[in-house]
Amino acid sequence: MNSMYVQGNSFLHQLDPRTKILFVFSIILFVFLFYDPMFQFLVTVSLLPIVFLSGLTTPYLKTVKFMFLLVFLIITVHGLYNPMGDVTKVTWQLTENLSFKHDALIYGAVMSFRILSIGTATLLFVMSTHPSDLANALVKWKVPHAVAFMILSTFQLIPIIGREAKVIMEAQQARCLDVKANMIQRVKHLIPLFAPLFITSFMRVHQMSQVLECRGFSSTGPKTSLREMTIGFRDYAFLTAIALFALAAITLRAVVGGTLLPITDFVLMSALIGIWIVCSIYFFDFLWKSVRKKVV
Amino acid sequence: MKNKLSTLVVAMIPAGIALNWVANSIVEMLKLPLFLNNIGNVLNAIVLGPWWGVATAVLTNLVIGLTTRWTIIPFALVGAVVALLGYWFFKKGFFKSIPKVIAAGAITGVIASALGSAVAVYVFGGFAGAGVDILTAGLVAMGNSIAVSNLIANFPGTFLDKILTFWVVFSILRIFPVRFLPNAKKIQEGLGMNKGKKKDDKAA
Amino acid sequence: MSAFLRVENLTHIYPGKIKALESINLEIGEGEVVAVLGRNGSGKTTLVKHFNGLLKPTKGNVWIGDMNAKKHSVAKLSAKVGYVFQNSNHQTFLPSVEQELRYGCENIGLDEETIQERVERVTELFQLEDILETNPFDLNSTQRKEVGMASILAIEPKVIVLDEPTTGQDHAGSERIKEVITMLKEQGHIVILVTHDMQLVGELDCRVVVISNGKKLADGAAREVFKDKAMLKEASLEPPQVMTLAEQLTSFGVNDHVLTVEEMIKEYKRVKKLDINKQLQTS
Repeated sequence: MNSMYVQGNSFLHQLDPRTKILFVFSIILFVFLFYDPMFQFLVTVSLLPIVFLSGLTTPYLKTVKFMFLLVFLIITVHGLYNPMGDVTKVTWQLTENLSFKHDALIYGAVMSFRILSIGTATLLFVMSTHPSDLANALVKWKVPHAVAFMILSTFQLIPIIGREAKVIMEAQQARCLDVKANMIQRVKHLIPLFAPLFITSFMRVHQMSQVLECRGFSSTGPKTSLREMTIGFRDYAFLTAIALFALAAITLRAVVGGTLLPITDFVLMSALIGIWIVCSIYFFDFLWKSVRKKVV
Repeated sequence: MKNKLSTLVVAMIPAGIALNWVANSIVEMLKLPLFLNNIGNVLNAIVLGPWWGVATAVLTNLVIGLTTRWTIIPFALVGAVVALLGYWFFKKGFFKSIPKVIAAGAITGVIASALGSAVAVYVFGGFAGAGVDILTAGLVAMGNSIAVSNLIANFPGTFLDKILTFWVVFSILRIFPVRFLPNAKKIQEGLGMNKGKKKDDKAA
Repeated sequence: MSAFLRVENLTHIYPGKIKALESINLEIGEGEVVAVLGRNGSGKTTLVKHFNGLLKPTKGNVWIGDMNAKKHSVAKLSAKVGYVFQNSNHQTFLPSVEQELRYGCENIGLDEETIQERVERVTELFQLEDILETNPFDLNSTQRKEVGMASILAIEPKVIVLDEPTTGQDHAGSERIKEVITMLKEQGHIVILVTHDMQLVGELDCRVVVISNGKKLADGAAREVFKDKAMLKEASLEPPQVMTLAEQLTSFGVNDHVLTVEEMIKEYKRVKKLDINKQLQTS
């Protein structure tokens, strides 16, 4: 299926999936250690060169879109309406009763950059890791072979069942099922569409389980894999770097606390306006593309 | 099946995940404002057992999270609870008639909705990275708290969705060819189908 | 009067700019049986999916009677053009054969009396009397396919598209499908086959349309079309085996105008008789 894997040969692609999983977890750890928008922002920005160097810029920009809608709503709505902290500390008075509050904006900005940095790290992982390698990595981590297999076969099954669903929709329309009928009729149509899908999937499952038996899936003993992976020098170097960062971050947290620098109104305003600008770029891009589609 | 996964389970869970996923395209074609993306969870919970339903739920969100939008991962909790509730209601005989199924779906809908909002509020500050977020934002602007807004915005969809999820699973299990089910007898009992057959025999 | 089914200059381009069909023209009149032939991916299924509106033309028009297929929904067109899918599992969802047969009729809103009448007719046609109460999934694949076909025929469409009707069928099933096609032809229906079963095409002795790379390569009686070896090669098709056999035996006096097994037997007997007569004369 269209897993988001992008073929490539970059540094990131060559890392062991396990290294990359640890990388994602450490990013999550970083952004939850501190409650400081500046820090979260820096983490997000520091991930961007990796995106660029891995040759993932275009697919990344495409998929990160939906996160910006989320982030836009979070910072705007929380900034305006979240009654947390000191409500009298106003950062930006819009109208008489509409204003961005300082404490609420901090919350919104922290949340936003947390989501962006975790999202970016996850995307980096997914886009540079082949699903088969992911399954193998899980096996290496003593996750039962069966579980890894399930994840892997899901990736293969989704396009198959998707195609099946399409044929079923056509076959039932050929029996005069009207997809444009009224709402109640359409709800009733769920059965003729879902039932054959369930039943044919079940038949497939039965076949599949027999095939698995025939191929000795339930045999005990160690399993071998076609795609072998080894943790090499690259991985150790990368892991060491992560470990150092983590150590530094934890020390910092212990010494300085959750907030590193005093958070000024300027920082908050830049975060807010920055997110708005990126969002509007996406929005106009979307608008431009849909207009062009209509014209062509 | 206790120590080792049977191959049926190994094959059935990916199918459940795929059904969860493909449900979306069917709903889209019928232009219904639903998701039905718990349908495989409930089916697997009833056919394979509650914990396999939970496994289907968790893996579904993991797979979708890893491929399209990672923000969905925390909502695995909701899918898992729906699977467990589906099994529980089935066990308690709620899958014997349409009114009971709808009632079970309605209760599940309320619980799922509350749980979904709780996850959204704790993890994402009240949003979920979906279109309905705009409605939530609008409700907040009208002066509601973020938790309440999220709940109001998501409730009608989730509520209806779970009722129809249960109804679809119920309707399909009733017409399911018996020989494909691993524990057909138990399932038919749960659906109250043996009684129906006896009545038919008498009538004939 | 123009033909019931008309394809005018049909071009279909799939998303991603893949040209599947290019300027196809075709007219099919009442009572005609047409086999659409071509290798997998040639565009034959794309062509017939235009007939009931599952696909809409990128350019050109498809007319079903006076309905332009572009402007009507699949559900509406399906009352005129029945499409029997290759795998009947994709449409089966009701717990009894009888309900399966009724489903299409109910969708077009027929009254109870008409529905029963039609269900009875197709039941008789496919001899389904004993299995009306059975769950279709408990039937064997031949029967299940027949139920699928019967459920479309119950809608009584003027045009019937059969996608690979004989694939996976046992001998008796294939024979029955052949009979049904012949009967439909006699009743004035249009039957369109998408198939790789050359023997079936030969036995039906029908019109043949050859599609290759989205273009129509040939259109005519099977007997004539199968003689164009260069064209067949281009479309990667093989004529029915009996035809090849007859062609190989022309030096023995066999007429190569043979299409069916029956004709071959007749031809063989004729040649044999000639041979015996010749031997008698010389001796």
